[in-house]
Amino acid sequence: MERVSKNFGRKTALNNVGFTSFPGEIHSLIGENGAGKTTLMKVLSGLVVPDRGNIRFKGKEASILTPSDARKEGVGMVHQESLLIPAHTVLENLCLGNRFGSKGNVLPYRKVRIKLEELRDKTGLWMKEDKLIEDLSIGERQKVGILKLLLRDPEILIFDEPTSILAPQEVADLMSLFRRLSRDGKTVIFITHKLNEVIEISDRITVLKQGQVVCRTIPEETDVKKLSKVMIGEEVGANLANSGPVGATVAKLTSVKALGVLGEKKLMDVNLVVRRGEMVGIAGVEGNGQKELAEILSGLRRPDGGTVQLPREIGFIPDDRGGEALIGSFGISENVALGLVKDARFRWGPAMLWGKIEHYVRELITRYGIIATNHQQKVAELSGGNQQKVVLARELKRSQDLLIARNPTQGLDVKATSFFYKQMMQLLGRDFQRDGTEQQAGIVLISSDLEEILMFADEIYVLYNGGLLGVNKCKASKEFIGRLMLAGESGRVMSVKGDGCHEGP
Amino acid sequence: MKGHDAWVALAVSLLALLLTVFLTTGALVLGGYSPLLTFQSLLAGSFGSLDSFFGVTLVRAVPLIVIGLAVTVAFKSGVWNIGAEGQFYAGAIAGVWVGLNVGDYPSYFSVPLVFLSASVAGALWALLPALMRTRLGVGEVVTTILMNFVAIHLVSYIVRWPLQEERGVFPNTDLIDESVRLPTIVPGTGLHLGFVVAVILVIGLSFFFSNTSMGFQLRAMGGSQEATRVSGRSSIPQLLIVTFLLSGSLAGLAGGIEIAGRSFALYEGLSPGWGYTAIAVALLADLNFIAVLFTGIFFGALEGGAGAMQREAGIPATWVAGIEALVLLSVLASDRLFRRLLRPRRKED
Amino acid sequence: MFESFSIVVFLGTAIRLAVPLVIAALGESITERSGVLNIGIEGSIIAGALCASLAALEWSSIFLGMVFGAIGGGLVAMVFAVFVLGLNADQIIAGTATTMAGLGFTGAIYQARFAATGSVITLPVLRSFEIPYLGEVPILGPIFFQQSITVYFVYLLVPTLWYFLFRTSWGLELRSVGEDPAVAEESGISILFVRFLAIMFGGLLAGLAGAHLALDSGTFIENMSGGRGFIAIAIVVLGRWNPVSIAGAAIFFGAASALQFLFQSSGSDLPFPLFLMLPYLLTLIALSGWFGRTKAPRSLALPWPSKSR
Repeated sequence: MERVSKNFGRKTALNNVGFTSFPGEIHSLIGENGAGKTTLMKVLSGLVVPDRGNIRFKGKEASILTPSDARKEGVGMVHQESLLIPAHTVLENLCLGNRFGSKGNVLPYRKVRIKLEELRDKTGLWMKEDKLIEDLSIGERQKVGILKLLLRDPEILIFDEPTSILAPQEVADLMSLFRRLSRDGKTVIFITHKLNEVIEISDRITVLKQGQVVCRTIPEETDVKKLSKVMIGEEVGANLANSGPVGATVAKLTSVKALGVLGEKKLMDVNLVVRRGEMVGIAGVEGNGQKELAEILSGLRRPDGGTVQLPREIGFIPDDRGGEALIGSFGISENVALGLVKDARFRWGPAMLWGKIEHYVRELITRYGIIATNHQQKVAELSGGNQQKVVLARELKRSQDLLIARNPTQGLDVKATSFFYKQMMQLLGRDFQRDGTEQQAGIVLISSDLEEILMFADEIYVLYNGGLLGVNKCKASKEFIGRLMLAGESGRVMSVKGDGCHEGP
Repeated sequence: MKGHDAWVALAVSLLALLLTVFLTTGALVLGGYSPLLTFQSLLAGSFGSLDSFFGVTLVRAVPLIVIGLAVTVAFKSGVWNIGAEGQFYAGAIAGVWVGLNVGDYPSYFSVPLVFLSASVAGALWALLPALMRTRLGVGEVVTTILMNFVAIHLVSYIVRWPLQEERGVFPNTDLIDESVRLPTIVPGTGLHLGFVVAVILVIGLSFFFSNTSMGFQLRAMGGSQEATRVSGRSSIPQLLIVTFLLSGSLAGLAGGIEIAGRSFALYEGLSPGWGYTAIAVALLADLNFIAVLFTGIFFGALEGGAGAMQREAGIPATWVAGIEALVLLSVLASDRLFRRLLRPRRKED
Repeated sequence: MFESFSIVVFLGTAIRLAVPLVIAALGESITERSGVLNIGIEGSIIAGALCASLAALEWSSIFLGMVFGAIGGGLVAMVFAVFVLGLNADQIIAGTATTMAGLGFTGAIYQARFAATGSVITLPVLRSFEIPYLGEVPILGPIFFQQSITVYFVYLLVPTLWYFLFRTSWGLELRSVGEDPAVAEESGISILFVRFLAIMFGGLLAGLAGAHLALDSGTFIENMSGGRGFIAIAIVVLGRWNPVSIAGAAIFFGAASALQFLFQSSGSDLPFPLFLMLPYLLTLIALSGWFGRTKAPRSLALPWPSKSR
């Protein structure tokens, strides 16, 4: 790929990027969120048409305008969110968009089954083909995505942040698959921002920053520190969570149970204590009960069993900013007002005091440095970081006692992330202007990003299959927590209990 | 921003009307009628005289405005209540039953009683779809449509069996007593107090939605249900029930007003599809309560002028149904086109 | 009145009454499988009835009546498609407008054409014929195989659509568009094209259902669709978007109406509107989950491209 550029509106996503890779290599493409990694690969796989630049395969110029152009050239991509249809079976998903050379219109189920068996013998990848996607875990779904790609027998395989949703053991499996593919002469392009993995597996590394290539290297000549320096511009910070003084209990869950819509168990016997001045980190692979736990902790739903002790007002930063946190068609004022509808200071009987609310919102815009034309600008028109600031401004007001945050820094750049954590530390009463006796809040951080939890949390738990397991922070290694996240059957959880795992207090 | 939006909405509505006139003219020419004569008679029949404006247009507009408000309440809150027709009939049934049985009381007692019972009946008619939506997750589009058919058949049962007129010949109820009827507000015309009720409702709802906490939460729910639940800490089932009940009671009240103000009796086809026409009324008003007052009068003029059109231009009154559909289609078309045209320009400011 | 042969007559009538419903519902189910909820098929049905009447009157041909009925329904569906796909208008609103337009304009055209003469239209009537051998089977024969051509058309249509939906690539693509258009698009499918075809198919079948209405009764009456478009939508839900169950659900509706005829013809003073109410109430009960939960296509009634894009 030569001199590829792409602009989205005024924002430059890619600026004169060149990218070359060879058959039989594992090529890592790294960079922060928004550095342009995914956009570059979407150009290669035909999902995004570049403004300028050209693409060559084996020396021949190719014009790739649609995904099917890319497919013809042998390029395939496994997406971050696997592009599968939940209500359909594995087999149906594999057949979508791939006729396997059959001319007729009848679905080639037999052919696909045979091919799947061939693939199993070759790569060890296997999935029951009659299962519905919605019954599979995220890791299994990714396998289906990979199978779908492999069935096309592509030359170039692009993996877009495949490891961010996987637990360490699954990551290891994926890495060995990469090696096998490269041995077969395929090109594997691996997009990630996890540097350890990069050093471990790559043949070559390309670093993108703000839409430009800032470094091309090989693992032998670099290390995590150097890479993170070129990637971010500064070294990854040390643990900021030098624990402060801890106060009284603000929230307590005792043998809490939650059921899904079909009566299936989502949370089982969860015990948790949150005290003032501490941040409780809850790690785990998404879909193990995170949504239910977050909603119970924030008082949005009542448990189906057990007792809950919560403060009257709780701040909550949900996972899905566009869907759950903000109303895109509403202005900043009205979105902040969502947090004030039950606040007596901004109401007079049943009436809302809009004048007072707007005055307050203008104050927040200045205090949090929200960049907007005015307080009535629709939040859909704001950038992701500014949107999260609006959410933060609204929720911090309710967080005097407790704040629940789910994947709060997802999709934010480094600056916005560090702004967020500065606010968190202030909430815990750990900024330098305050001493520990002042009002401190408790924070629960529910995140699938293990690094983030290890870096900031005072207490660490792992949520696995609806059960909450306490982890001794001093003893636990990243690998150990990773193993817990994937623990498998409960017997194994019990067996690892000896080496540092105890049931929640 | 807000002022800007209002101008866009007004421009969209005007463009839609222009488009309607254009398309209607085309259809009339194709049908071999004189467009000029048609529009002339339509205008004369609806605005031409004191009687045609107060006695025909505004009287026709009353149910359209009130049901239009019901639809606006629902659509604004993200509830697809297609069942205003059924809720109107439920209100009319309750209204006529109370009207026939209330006994001899002064009208300041019995008329409000008719209104109250009609509102409650309309609300109850909306309650089943509401519960199916909140308890069972069944979408309200299909259930409210089904409830319309149930109501229509219920009316045809009631006017033939339990409440049939005394002689038992015609499929309609007896007339309600003078004391239960609404007083006329413009002497010499049929314009009744219901119009004043409609205007008060317009103002009240407009205030309710923009200035109260409940109204704001309903609006927020229309914007995003998930965000209202998670970030507003509001109970969505509760808000949904409020919406259904409010919307249903308004449509039901329209039935009560119609009984006490104009028809004085219940019969099949009391509503010529007002529940559906009201969707056009609400959308032409861009779901703005104040604007519903005017779009309701506009549609009232169309339906009111239909008679004159048939008499003088020889055009069957059913044409008006076609014109109404054209209005709705034109609103949709011009709304989409207008906003599409404006979008790139907005990004730059 | 409940002699043995009248049970046969009753079931035969149920099937006859179910025909327009099942044809319209099968068409609508295909439309809904693509993620489009067309509540405007009432408009397509009435347009189909009018076009079929005009064509059959002009050429006194039942076949041409059927063809033009289907075309009429398709044309109305095309208006809906322009709004929903071309302008990305809301499906519920566009559907309401389509129904209003269909009912309004068929009424206007009918009035313009026939009101002056004041006479009732008389059309060639669909006749039932017996399928050799099958028609002679006791009980089942008279119920299923002494019917009109449209009934036999339905017998073919149901398995064909089932096979199309679940065994062919096109069927899979259609279902994928209705479940998750983003995924389907990534697989190289044109969402708008598939939805256009699905809407048109639904419109053609709704038009055919209207043609059956007119040619079965031998006349055209204003508003003769009588809400069948809405009933068809209920039937699709009741039949869980599966052609076979849809046929069953439609017969259930047909049977309820047949019951009402049976009671009315027996001359009793039973309040018939209450019987007319029955199928709607039963559908409401069915929707409440008495026959198990129903699972709609996931992107049903959602716009494409979605508003956030």
